[in-house]
Amino acid sequence: MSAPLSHLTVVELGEERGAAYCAQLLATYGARVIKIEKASGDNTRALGPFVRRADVETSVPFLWLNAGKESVVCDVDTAAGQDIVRQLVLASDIVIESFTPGYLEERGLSYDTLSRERRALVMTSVTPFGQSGPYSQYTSDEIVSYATGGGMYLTGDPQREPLNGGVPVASYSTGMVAFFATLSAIFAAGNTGRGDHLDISVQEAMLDNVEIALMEHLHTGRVAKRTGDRHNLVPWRLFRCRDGFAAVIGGPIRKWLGAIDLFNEPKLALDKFRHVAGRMAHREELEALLQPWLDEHDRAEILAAGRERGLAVGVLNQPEEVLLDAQHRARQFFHQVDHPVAGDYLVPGEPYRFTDTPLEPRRAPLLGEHTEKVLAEDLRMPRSRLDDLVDKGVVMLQGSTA
Amino acid sequence: MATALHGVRVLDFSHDWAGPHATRLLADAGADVIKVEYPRRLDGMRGGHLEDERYNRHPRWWQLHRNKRSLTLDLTRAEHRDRALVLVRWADVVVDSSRPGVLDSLGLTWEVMHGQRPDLILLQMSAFGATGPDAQYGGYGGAIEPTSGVEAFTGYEGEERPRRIRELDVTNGIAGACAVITALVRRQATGLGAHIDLSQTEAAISTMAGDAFVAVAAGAAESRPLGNRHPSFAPHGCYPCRGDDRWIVLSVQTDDEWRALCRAIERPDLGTNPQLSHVAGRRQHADLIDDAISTWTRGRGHREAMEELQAGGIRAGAVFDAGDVANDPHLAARGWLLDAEDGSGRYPGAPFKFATDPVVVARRGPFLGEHDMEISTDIISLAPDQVEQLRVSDLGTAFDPE
Repeated sequence: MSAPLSHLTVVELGEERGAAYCAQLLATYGARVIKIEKASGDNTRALGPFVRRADVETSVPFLWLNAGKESVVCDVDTAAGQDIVRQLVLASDIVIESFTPGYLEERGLSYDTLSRERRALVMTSVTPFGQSGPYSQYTSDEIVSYATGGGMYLTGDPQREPLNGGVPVASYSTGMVAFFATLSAIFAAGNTGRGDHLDISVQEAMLDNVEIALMEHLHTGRVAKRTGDRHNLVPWRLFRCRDGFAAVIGGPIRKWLGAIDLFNEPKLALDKFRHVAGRMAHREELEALLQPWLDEHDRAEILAAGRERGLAVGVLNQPEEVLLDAQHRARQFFHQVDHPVAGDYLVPGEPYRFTDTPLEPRRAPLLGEHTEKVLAEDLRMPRSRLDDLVDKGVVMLQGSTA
Repeated sequence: MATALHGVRVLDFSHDWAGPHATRLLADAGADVIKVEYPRRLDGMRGGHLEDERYNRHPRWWQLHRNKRSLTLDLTRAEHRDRALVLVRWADVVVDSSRPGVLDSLGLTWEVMHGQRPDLILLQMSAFGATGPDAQYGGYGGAIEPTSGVEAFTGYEGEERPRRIRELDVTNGIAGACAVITALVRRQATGLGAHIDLSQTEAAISTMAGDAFVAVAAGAAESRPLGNRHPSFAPHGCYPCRGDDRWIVLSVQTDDEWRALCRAIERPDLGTNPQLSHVAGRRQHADLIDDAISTWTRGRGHREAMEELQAGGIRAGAVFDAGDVANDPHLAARGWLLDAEDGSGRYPGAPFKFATDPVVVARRGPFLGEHDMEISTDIISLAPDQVEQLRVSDLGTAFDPE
C-alpha cells in the first residue's frame, strides 16, 4: 500500500529547524517534499557532527532533518528564482516556510498572493516568536526557545542554574505541532476547498509542554520551580543502583502494595506508607528504605523483578545500549540507510506505525540533486532556459560548485 | 471557534497525560471528543481525593480535557460494552493509551471495532508498542524517559546523573495527534481507516532525539551531557540577572554575532581579541567569556537584558517562569492566553494559529459524567430513565491501593 500522504506535494523554504522537521515528517509519511536551498546549501549542512568526515553531504542534523526530501538549489532573491518557486507552489498543496516575517511578501510570494491563484493552498509559517507581536523579529535558537517557552526554568536543580534540554525539545515540538496544524488545514481544505495560513511560533509550541504548570499558575498563582528529578509523587524518580540508575515509579500507584516485597524491607509495609499520600509525607524515609536493595542489584535485575510485580520500573539506558535493545530489534525500529557520500548510517524509524503500511526509510538529498529533474519534468523548462539559469547562478545542479 | 476538524468524532479511552494531550489538540482544532471514564478508577489527573468533588476542580484537568465531553462507562458490564460499541460506530477515531491487551480484554479489539466501522481510525499509544517482548509492560514518562535513552542527553556538564526534561508525555501526546491527523488525511483521500501502533518509547526517540541517535550510531556523538554549552556554538549558556532566580540565555552562532555581543555588553576589547575571534578559541576561553557576560547581565533584569541583546542582534532569551509567561507583553499582543467562553477563567493558548478561525476554549474539562445524559440519549439512543445516576459510593481513584 502506498504511504499515507503520498498524494500530497510540499514546497519547503527557509532553514528553521522545527520547520525542517515538520517537512521531514511529511516526507516520512509519504508526501513529496521539494526543499529549496541556496547555492551554499542549507546552513544545517555545515553543522556537526558528521558521518565519517565533514562534508556538505554528511552533517548528521541535515541527514536527519531532510530524510526523504528532494533538493532544488534556487536563488529566491532573483526574479527568475521567485518565478520558479511560484510555479512550484501553484502545483503543490503545502508550503512550509520559516523566513523572518515579511520576507516572502517582499518577494511577491506571500500567502495572500499565492492563495489568490490557488485557493486550497496551505501555507505554514514557522518562526521563533510568530508572525505578529513585539518580539516577532527576534532571533532565536533552541536554548532561547526552551527558555522563553517555559521549559528551562523547570529543568535542573533548584539551587543551580536552569538547564538546557540535551535534546531540542522546542524545535522538535514545533515540528510536530506544525505538522499537525498543516494537515488539519489540509483536511479542512478537502471539505471546503479553502486553504489556510498557519502562524506557528516556536515559543508557543514549547509552551504546550508546560501546560499544567502554566494552568496552575493562572488559577492558583503558584509559580512552579525546577526540582531536579524529584516528582510530586513518591516513589517516582531515578535511584542509583549497582550498575547505574534505575527509575522506580510507584505506579500504577495501586500496584505498589503488591510489589514492595521486591525491596526486602519489612518497614515498607508500615501503615504510614500504605497510601501514596503517606509516602509523599515521608518522602526521604521511604526513598532511603528502597536504596539498599537497589544498591545490590543491577539494572537488568531491577527491570525484570519490578515488571514481574506490575511496577512501572525503568532503567537509565545509554543510547549506545538502546541501539542493541531486544525490543527495538524485535520491532526492527532502527534502519540502515545508504547514502552515496556519507556511506551507510543508522536511523530511528517513524514515530508511529500504520500497521497496514510499513514505510521505507529514505536518505537525505545531495545539494541540488533534484534541480534538473524538477525544472525539466515538473516545470517542463526547456534545456536552453535551464542552462541559461545555471549560467546566471539562479539555479544550480548537483555536483557543480557555488 | 477553530473548525478545521469540525465534524470529526473522537472516542477517547486514554488516560493520564499523553493520550489526553493528543485528544486536547484534536478538540482545540474543532473535533468532538468524548472522554470515556471508568468511575471505579478515575483518571490519575483527577487526583486521589473524592471529598468535595475535588476530582472535578483540578486546573490541570480543566486544561487537559478542555473542549471535551465526559461519559462514564463501566466496561466490565456487558450492557455498557454495548453502549461503547454504539459509540465506536459513531466515532471516526478511537484513542487508547492502555497496555496492549487491556482494551481487547474488554471486548474492544481492533477486529471488533473495525467490523463495526470499516473506516475507523484506531490509535493505540502504549509504552513499548503492540508487539515485541516488552509489549505487555506499562510505563509512565518517568520510566520511559530514561529507558528510551533520551534522558541520558540532559544534565549538568560532566555529571553522571541525568536530569529529566519537561515533558515527554506532552511530546508523545503531540505525536499522537499527528498520527490521527495523518490517518484522517489518508482516509479523506482513500476511504481507508487505519490501525496505528504508537510506541511511546519509539516516539520519544524518533521525535526528540532522532539526530542524536544517528550521531551515536555513527560513532560521531559529542561527549554528554553538555549542560548549557553547545558543541558548535560559543558562547552558549545561561547567565544570572538581577533578582531572585532570574536568568538569561544566549547563543552565539557566528563570528559576526560574537562581535555584536561584545558591543552589546560593552566589551569591545574581547571583540578584537584574536584568540577569541573563532569558535574554537571561544570554547577554550569559555570561563573568561562567561565572566564578562555575567558581569553585564547581573546588572539587568532578565527581560531588560533580553530586549537589549536582541536589539543588538543577539539570540537571547529570558528564562521565563509561569508568571513571566502569564504577563508577557509579546504573548499578550498575540492574544495567546485564552479566556474560556464558559467563564471558567484563563487558559494557556494553543500552539498553532489558523488564519481562518481562532482556537477557543469553549468550556473547561468536564465534570465526571457531566455529559452522560446528552450522550446517552442523543448518540446511544437510551431513554432518559435508562441513564444511571453516578453514586459517590461507586467511585474510586487511581491512587487507592489494590
